[in-house]
Amino acid sequence: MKRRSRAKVFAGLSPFSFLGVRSTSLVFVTLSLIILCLSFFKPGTMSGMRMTIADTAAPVLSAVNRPFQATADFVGNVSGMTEMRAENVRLEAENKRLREWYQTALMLQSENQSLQELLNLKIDGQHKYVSTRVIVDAGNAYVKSVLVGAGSQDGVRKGQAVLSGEGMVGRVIETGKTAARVLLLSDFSSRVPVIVEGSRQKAILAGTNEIYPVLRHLPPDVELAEGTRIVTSGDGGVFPPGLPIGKVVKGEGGKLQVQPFADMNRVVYVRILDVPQNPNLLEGQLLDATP
Amino acid sequence: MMAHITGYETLNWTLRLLLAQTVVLLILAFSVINYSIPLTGEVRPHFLLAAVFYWAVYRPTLLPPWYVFVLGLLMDTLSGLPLGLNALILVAVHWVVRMQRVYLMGQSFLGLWIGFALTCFLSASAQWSLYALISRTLVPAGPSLASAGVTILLFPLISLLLILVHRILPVASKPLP
Repeated sequence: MKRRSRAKVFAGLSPFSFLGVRSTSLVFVTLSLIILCLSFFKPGTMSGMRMTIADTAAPVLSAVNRPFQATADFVGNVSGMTEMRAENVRLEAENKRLREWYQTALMLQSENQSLQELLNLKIDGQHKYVSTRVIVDAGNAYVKSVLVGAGSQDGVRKGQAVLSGEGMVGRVIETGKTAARVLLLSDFSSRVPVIVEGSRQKAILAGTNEIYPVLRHLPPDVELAEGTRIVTSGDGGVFPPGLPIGKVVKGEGGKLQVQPFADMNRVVYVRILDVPQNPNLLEGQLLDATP
Repeated sequence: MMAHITGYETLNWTLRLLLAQTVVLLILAFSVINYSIPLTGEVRPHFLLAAVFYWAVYRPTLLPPWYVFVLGLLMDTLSGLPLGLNALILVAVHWVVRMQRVYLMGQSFLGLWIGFALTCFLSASAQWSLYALISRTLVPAGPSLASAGVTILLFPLISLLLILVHRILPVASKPLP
């Protein structure tokens, strides 16, 4: 049998074979390094391309994703079956308690309404939601973000708040036609103006790339009990006020951390809040204002 | 004497090669999708690295450097990472492993596994350092190392899949009679 020459085996698919393997590798290592530096120092330049690729890949990834979600749902159902009895008893008790709360809420609502009318208060418009699934969650140590299956054609815009069933998970940072990227609260660059519920204490919720974000810019004399609820303050006008975020927990060395109500690592369905756009926060003006 | 290559042989060769490429793309998809399983949040196996390693050893023509580069960029784009972070690491791993492939091919599976463990650990460290250097932020290194650990543990599983694909791959880089 004739032995195949080495050169022929290496030729294969490569249109860069004239360069030789080592030079080609060197060329692409250099190219990667240039792109990497570019994406750090000029972050906006490749955003359009990123979202075009995400749009194209979204249906495929969504399809690959589906069996996993079905399995997770199935496992959830089966393991839930055995606990159904206890769950039922608990739910009945909870239902009774909630009915009482419902009556209280109705009473408060009518009272609130009459007081607002009395004061002639300008109320924020009702929020609309876009509900969608998380299709890409490439959990890594560097960037905490997910790709969701709704984009500009569903009314999703940059800056909108994203919630799971339990509370806020992040904000939209890039939108394509059918997909959008959501920066999670835990990301290193995430900052959200928040307020400590029950007091007027404001703070900034800052991500650290670890599970729990921390509270920054709190006056040193402020004492917060564990379990205190943290909600958005609405300062800056990007997020509506009062979105639930999480509760205070004490970390190592008494550091004030916030445990989000939403389980960041397992978000499957999200709601994207469609808030009437604030004319002061339109893209062009926002960009002009930042250095 | 040169044998004649029939249409069937060309088709057969193309289909087998396409299958191998589809598996590579699927592996990429599995590296980024949302599993809806607890504890898969930040400790994610880097399946694509395992695939690039395997093919760099056993069939370098299947994933030439430019293609590894494109796969890396795709992964960066989909996972929201700064563009080039995975591309750089994957191309570099491909380059180094390809230079050592004759040595690695002579090893038993255990030897190959140890080789992969070393590659995986070094590339995770390199990626972390590179990110720290360029972004000037020290992100916690724990998740990166844990991901590398999980990838190393799952290597036999992923190489089992790739060995299966390897068996049905055409022998030559061009259709042979």
